[in-house]
Amino acid sequence: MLDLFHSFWWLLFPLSWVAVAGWNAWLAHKARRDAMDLIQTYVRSGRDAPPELLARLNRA
Amino acid sequence: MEDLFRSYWWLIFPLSWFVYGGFQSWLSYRANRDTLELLKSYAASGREPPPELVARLNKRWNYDLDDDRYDGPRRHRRERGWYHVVLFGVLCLGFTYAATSDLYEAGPAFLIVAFVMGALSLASLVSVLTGRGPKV
Repeated sequence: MLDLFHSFWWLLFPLSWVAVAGWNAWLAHKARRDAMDLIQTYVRSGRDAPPELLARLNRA
Repeated sequence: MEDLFRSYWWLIFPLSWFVYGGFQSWLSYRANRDTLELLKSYAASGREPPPELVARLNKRWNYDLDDDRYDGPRRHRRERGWYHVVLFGVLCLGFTYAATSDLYEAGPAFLIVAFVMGALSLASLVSVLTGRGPKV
């Protein structure tokens, strides 16, 4: 096991990067979902959502 | 186990950076969610939210909400891009020196790190010159 780690320790870097990218993508998905949820609340109350909120859907 | 730590103690620093980045993203996401929750309360009660609160939506969720650099003028983003080019470039030079002089008898390991730093520097340079960068 230690020999394996000595040979492939550098794999920690790309794997960590992939893990962080996946984590950020998951948070971005949750942020978009929250924004959609808020827009739905505006629609239900019969009002227009602020343009900043709509613009956010293209960025988050 | 002690030998392993003596050989790879320096891995604590880059790996801590990854953990810190993930934690910062999580905190920024929480702040963003709290803002949306507050706006939701305003919408549900039929009141207009304060413009300052709505203005917070213009910040990207995965950056520090008090940090204007990412959403500020394009010039600031370019300056930050050059900062990364220089930072990673100098780190690449340092690790190349460590690799060629076989510092701590770990030349091959330093060579890999030098490659990574060089790649990051080049990627930052391309990002600055083309005016584009990763969104995440």
